[in-house]
Amino acid sequence: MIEFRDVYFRYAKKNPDVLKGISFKITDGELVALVGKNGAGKTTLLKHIIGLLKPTKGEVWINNENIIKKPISELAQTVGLAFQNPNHQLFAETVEKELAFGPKNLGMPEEEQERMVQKIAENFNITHLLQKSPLELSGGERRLVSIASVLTMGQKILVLDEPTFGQDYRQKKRLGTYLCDLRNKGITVFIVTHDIDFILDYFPRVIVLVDGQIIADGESKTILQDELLIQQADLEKPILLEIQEKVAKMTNQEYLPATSEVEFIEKFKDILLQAASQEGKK
Amino acid sequence: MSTRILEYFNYEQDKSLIHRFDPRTKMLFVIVLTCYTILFRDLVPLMLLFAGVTPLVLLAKFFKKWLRAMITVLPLVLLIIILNALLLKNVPSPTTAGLAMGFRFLILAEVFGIFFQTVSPDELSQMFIKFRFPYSLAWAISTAYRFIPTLTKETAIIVAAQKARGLQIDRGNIFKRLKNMIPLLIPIFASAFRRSWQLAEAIESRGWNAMKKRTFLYSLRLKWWDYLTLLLLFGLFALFLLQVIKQYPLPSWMLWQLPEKYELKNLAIAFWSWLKNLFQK
Amino acid sequence: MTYTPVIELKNVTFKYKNCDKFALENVNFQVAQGDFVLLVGYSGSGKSTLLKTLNGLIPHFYSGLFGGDVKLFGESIAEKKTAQLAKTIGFVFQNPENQLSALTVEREIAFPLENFAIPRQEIRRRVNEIIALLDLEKIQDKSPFAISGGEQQLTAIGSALALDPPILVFDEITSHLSPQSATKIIKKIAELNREQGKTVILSEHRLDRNLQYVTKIAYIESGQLKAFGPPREVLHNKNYPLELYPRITSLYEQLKKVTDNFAILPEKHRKQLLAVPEPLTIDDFLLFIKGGRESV
Repeated sequence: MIEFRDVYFRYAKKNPDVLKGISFKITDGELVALVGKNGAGKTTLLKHIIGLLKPTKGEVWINNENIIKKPISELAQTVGLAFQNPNHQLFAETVEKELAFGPKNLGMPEEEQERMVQKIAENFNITHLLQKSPLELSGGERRLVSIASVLTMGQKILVLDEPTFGQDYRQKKRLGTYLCDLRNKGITVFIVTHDIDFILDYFPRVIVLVDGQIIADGESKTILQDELLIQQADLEKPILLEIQEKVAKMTNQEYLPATSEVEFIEKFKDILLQAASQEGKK
Repeated sequence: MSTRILEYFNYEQDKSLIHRFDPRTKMLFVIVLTCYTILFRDLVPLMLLFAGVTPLVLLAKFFKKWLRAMITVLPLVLLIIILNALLLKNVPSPTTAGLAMGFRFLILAEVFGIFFQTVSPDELSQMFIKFRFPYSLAWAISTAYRFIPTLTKETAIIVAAQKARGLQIDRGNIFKRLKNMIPLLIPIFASAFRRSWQLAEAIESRGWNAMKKRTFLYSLRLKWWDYLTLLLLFGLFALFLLQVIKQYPLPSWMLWQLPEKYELKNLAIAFWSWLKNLFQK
Repeated sequence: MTYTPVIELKNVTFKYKNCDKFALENVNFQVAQGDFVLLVGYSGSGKSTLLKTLNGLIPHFYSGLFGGDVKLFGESIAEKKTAQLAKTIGFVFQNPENQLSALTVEREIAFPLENFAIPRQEIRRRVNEIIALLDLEKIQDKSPFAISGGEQQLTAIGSALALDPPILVFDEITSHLSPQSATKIIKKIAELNREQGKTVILSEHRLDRNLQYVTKIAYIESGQLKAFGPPREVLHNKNYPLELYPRITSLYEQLKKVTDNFAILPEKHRKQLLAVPEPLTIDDFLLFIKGGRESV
């Protein structure tokens, strides 16, 4: 469980506040996405979860404990954080060693390490990359490896900074499906992203951060339809919603959008059938 | 303390009077003043020199930074003074000589500080070009300088990223600690290397070294105040050379030494006996 | 009427040093003047490698085995230095920060002109022209490191445009940008293509909002060019994975499947719907829905 209680943060006395009174609660097994303009404070917020930064005011509670006094090494056992740029993490000789680095630091027994590495590699379809040097991989592959190397640590809370950055559709789908899977195991996933389609597909809850403050926190379906919010968070309207909005305008019908692909297909099948039957009646 | 000192030599974009002078003028200023600082060994001329240069610190809008840096190195300066005062021989007054050394340090610090505070990395490379340095070298130096803050920021991120994976850099014996540096050093170097490579690709794609000579949108040009100052500085330099060759004796008031009883050695002895008396009573 | 293709690749092959796989294998294609080519492919398929052969970075900057020929405006570039080609081809890279080095945005744009010893007056004029073209007035005196990612890429584009090259190449330039910045920039590029006749080659993951500007798609897989041609043609091609289609096409295909190729509708409608071209953009999709509602 992650809880922020009225958190304020600034980098130095003379600097303005980057976080201005952040409060929210995420329970176990939730999938939450954090969106907002670049510079709104998203990465700063993430750093508080693993204790890299401490609030100037307010408190951060993880699993019912105030983490203010906890060292990062201890928090790393509970919270896994993967940064945005994989090149800031990758250093090992082989991908296998890279994936094992985190578990090793946590003191996992060797067989357990191997098991985790194999499991994650299979899940992400990167078994064929295990013996390669991370520096040989393409951008998207590196990203996958950097996320995987945090997943092998097996924490109960997973925090990812722009996980879909540089990924093609295939990789994103695999990642999204895997993350969804995790919630069944009670693992909390919290991501920062700009990828609105990714959010709609896999993340039921979204928090909107603008200028260091939370201006919305709730169901993705609802929030991502709000034009003003999307504009403020520097996002783009999801394709599914944009299509339906335009169709509704064109057919003079009410705008009640389907928010998943399956619903969308059903809805449009009905639209076509309806149009045909109306024609027939004439 | 080390960051203070690094900051001290950091260029700051400002429109102070001194910023408007050509860097070549400022370079000559540094050279001439260094010569004079070395020339004089006596306290009074050095104090005069110090008094002469300090107003320029104010003109360069550099005072606060300079003051902070000076306070930081104060222990070092005092150490110089005291060591000289206590250990120098063959000198009429060691304490005076010590104080003179201290002032030398302060003057040089001021002079170099003014130079780096008011000369941007770009101006530096422009200066190199005017001095017929190969442009590649000048560009490399100013680009490296410009990337220092980027590298610092990136190092912080890398440390944070690896700490989040459980890396501990402050535990264990020296061997373990060194081993734990590897997950930090490799990404840092790889990043720096990648950046250089990508930058090289980019400038190559934009015509780097396409022609033997290149033109410049902005280049250094001496203004009338530069010429005036250069004239003055050359004059001073000529006087300096004259003094070195002819060795004119300095007027006696410039050679003033501290009276015997104020010598640090003697003061120390006096203090010591006063203490002894106190305890004997 | 014969025409010389602006870009021509003949049997281009490349293998990076110390690599067993071919990064590019027998790539052949031609790009005409004014084309807007979208290069797509999975991560690691060879997109960047392909783009870098266009201005000679491959093979001059990277060691490896190079085969085949690259021609720009009918002339082979094998003997030319990348720097020389800056007048013909402007290249913008993925990472905004790592391609900029000047003191201000203005000087960054002047950089290529300085490299070619253009006289100062001309540089000044051209720089002002570009600043106006790309709306960079507000940031022209700022350091390239003190501006946003989108502004940095615009600066890089400005710099690539300085010498007025007829060809512009963009290597995944939006990956570090927010969606809104990305759309803005691609729109700007489309403007350059449309209004200044620049031939554009862009590699990009995000298709959905960009397909409207594209005249040709090039699909590359494991170093081989599997498909090349106008969007609709290519997307029909069996070699092109559905996953890489724009979302809209994917939705359309699913709709077809669920309605059994529209068989559940009366014959009249079915014929009509099949007559509507496959949608690639949102507007296409709207047309398609309209088509299903209007009578024959």
